[in-house]
Amino acid sequence: MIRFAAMQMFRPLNRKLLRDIIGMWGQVIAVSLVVACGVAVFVMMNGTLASLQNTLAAYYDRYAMADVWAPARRAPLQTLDTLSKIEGVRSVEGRISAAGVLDMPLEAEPVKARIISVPDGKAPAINRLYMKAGQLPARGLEQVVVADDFAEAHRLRIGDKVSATLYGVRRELTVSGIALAPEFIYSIAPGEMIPNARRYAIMWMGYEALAHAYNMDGAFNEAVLLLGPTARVPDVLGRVDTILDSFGGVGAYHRDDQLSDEFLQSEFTTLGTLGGMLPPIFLGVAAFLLNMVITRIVEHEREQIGLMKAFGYTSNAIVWHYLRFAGVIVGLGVLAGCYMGYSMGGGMASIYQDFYKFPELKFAPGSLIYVKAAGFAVLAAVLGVLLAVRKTISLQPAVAMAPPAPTDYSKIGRIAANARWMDQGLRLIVRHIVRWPGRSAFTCLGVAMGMAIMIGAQSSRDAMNRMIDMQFELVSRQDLTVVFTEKQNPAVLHELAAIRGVLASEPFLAASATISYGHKSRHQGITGVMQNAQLNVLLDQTDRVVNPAPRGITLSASLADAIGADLGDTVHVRFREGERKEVSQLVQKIVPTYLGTPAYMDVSAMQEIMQEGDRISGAYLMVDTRWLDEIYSLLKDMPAVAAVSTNQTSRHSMKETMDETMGTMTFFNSVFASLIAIGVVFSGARISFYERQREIASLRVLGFTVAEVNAVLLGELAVLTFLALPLGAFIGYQLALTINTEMSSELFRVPTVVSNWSFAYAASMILIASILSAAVIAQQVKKLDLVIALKTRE
Amino acid sequence: MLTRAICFDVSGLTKVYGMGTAEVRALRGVDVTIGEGELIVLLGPSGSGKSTLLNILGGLDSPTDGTVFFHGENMTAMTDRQLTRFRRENIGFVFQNYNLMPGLTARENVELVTEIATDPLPADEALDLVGLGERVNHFPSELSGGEQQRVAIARAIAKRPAVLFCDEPTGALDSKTSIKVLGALNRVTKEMGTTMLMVTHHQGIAPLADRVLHFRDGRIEKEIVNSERAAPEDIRL
Ligand SMILES: Nc1ncnc2c1ncn2[C@@H]1O[C@H](COP(=O)(O)OP(=O)(O)O)[C@@H](O)[C@H]1O
Ligand SMILES: [Mg+2]
Repeated sequence: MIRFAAMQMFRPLNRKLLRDIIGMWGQVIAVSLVVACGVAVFVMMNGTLASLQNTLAAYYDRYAMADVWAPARRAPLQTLDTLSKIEGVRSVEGRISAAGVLDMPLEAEPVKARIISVPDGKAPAINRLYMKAGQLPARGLEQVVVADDFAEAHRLRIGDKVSATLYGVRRELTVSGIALAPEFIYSIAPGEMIPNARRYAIMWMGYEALAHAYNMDGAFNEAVLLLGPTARVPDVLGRVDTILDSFGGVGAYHRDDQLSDEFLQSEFTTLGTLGGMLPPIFLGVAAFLLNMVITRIVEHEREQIGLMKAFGYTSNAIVWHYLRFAGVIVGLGVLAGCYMGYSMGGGMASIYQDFYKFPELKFAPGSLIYVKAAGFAVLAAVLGVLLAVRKTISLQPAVAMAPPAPTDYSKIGRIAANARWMDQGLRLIVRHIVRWPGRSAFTCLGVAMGMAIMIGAQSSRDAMNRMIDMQFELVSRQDLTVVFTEKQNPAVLHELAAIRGVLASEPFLAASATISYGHKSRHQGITGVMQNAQLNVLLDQTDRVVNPAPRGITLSASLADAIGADLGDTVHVRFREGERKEVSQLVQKIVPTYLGTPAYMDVSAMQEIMQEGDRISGAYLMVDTRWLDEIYSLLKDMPAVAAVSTNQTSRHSMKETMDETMGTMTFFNSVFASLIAIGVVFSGARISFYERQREIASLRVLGFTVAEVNAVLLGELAVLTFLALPLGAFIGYQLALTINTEMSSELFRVPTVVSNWSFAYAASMILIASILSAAVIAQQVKKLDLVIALKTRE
Repeated sequence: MLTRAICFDVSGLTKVYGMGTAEVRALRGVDVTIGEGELIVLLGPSGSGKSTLLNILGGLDSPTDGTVFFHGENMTAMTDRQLTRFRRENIGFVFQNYNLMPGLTARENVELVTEIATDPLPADEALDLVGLGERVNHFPSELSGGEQQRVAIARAIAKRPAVLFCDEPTGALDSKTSIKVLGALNRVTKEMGTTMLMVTHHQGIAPLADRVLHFRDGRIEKEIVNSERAAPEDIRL
């Protein structure tokens, strides 16, 4: 047995394999690296997604995440019995969910709070709390459990006091605990676009105390339901709505429509899409490179192949030899890639844990992901090798062995013959490129793809940045957004306009509603905006300002898509507040949007429908920034004002938020893309050195200096690299287009933009990689043993 | 012969490849003086060190021990850069397998050298000298082996090298073509007074030389001086 193994070891092909690997280690490392990056991206992206999904599922399960939320105005607690009898409902809990305002010492602006009741004396059975510290509020006391992120942002500890305005009454609440909840993994203040732990608090208070504060004794305004496995969701929702209708039910909704879950799912979709697209592209580039390298090695060794066949080696044995060569490369790549992917994935997990509020998020995608990654890499390798050896293997031994005739340049050769200004070196460069159009194109394409994936990797970030810029430069041009506690008389607007430093003001009306078309519907707030608005506007496809339709409804393209409505269709609108009017509205306009799925109406038309007079929900203000602080404190003290947000802060924190998750992922991706690009460029340079050693040696023997030889060898690479730059930019743009189209979800219409910065970054990485490769090759030209190079036959 | 100026002065030259058990002693102490304008033929069995000597004299390889003086200048002390310059200015090489640039025509292959030489022959003239005046615009792939070798010779002599090294220049050619190639070599070196060292395993070529060095086991075993150089047409291969 041992002897057999030893014999296996030293069979000539094994020895050749070993020597090839050692002799071409630079090449081996470069291609392995490229494979490793493809694998790493696969493991990181899909692993992060799998970890998130697994963690989410476990969290939901252990902490009894509700299936259905049913808000109402005020329903007696007895109603819960009726609800629990609905077929498919496993359990029900009623609670109070209330809005409040906090005055926090660390925050100049009033802080919005959502306060939710927990049963007195026991833990909630649905949407349970993960207690990080402290305990649930004691019965009857004005104690609160605060969300972990808010506690952290405001450095709150157990026993600290928080002053809050609940239902118009100022109260001092005592922090009894710090917690996380499965329904608030992602939380965002109403009317905001991104989470901001400093500006929005989730709190839990004992039922008795909260009911007392909001005058809700013996009642609830939100039921949460757990469903059994066989429950039919639409039926349950319908039954709940019927039961709660007389108590001001505003429409029950399933977990799919719950803000936190919906956001997570949309993030998962994005991750899944990116994870489904980038790794295959990366691995594709790796396969391409492997193919290029093996093809050229095989071509280079065609005589040896002929010889081996003449000695009686089968074609299969020879294919197997190259497959093993590729196998070693891929094996190294897979090992390194899994490790890199695992490390980066760990990094991503801790970032996501910060961003989302999971009790614990570990990078634990399960071993299948590594197996899959390895499988894909091996598949790519096998494909790359088989395509490479196919042609040479089928050659007759005699043909393969015949010393190759000098490459025939005669067909294309006269090229540049008459250009006297060219020296022979330049002529060699031009002719070599033209003589091997396939090879040159391949090298060029390889480099271009390296560049393209860098652009592609950056593009999601570019797109996000663009969306934010669009939003704040073109759409939300106001400096401040003021939201009233309750709808106010338009006279308040004059009050606001009269504040020193306020340059312009515009009212808006906002109401939550359900918009449906056919059997598709969505909970979506409708914003009533002014005609000829200047501060917060609608845009058309060409970013020109348009007015909302004076009658009927204006939908965002994303919303129209979501419910399947088109221009001229009639949608059903059910307001979920105030008089809860139901109306049919003609879709008069569809406008593109970059964020969310908004719907708009003309403000007066909307007031008419809602029949609440000419009251407004808030105002957009343009201010002289010198007065900003004073305006702030003035607004904060106005009893009608619930929240003030500045565009600058929003924009800043929006970008910051994006940079945290998407930005990091993009960063990792573009690191990998850059490594791949470097690998491709280096391999291209290395292989052409390998092929042309003899020519290089001849030139050196003729007395050409190292620099002169390099000018010929590297000149060609330089030409191909420069050709690759525009090509790479083009392919990169197409790639960005594909990725962004794929990524455009219901919530985000992703514009395809590739920033100049991304182009410049990708191009410079290519140039740097080329220069580094050139430096390595130049060293090798210098070290080339002329005698040996000339002795070995081509 | 005694009246000639000294071109190469070689003493105690050894060359060891590899180390330990893999050690190969290619040259084991070679002493030889080569005069200007001499035509030397190196004969000997394969592996006896002929190419090694040629490569060291041509600045392609460095000796393990011993010294080589070229016109009084110590070559063993030269840097890589100096060796390149030395090759560029003084040395022509012709190898068994031509080593032409496949991407350049015959003329362009010669021009490759004339472009970097100080006082070269015009490329066409060099090709005329080897009898290829008609084929200057052909690519190597369009030339026969003998023609390719003559292009290589034209390329080697176009810069008017002081020394021409030929390592089995006719090794890949039939005898008729070989004689043509040798004729070209003989003519141009005679015309330009070039010193030439030619490695061959053809006894028949020996009469062309001024001196014949017989190699065995890395040493010059014997040295035969011809009273006069025979014409290539008169030898039999
Ligand atoms: N690069 C090398 N490495 C190891 N041994 C070599 C190398 N080049 C030549 N040799 C050995 O040196 C000896 C002399 O070689 P060479 O000068 O080429 O002989 P010749 O030209 O007379 O046939 C041979 O034994 C050969 O195997
Ligand atoms: Mg030899």
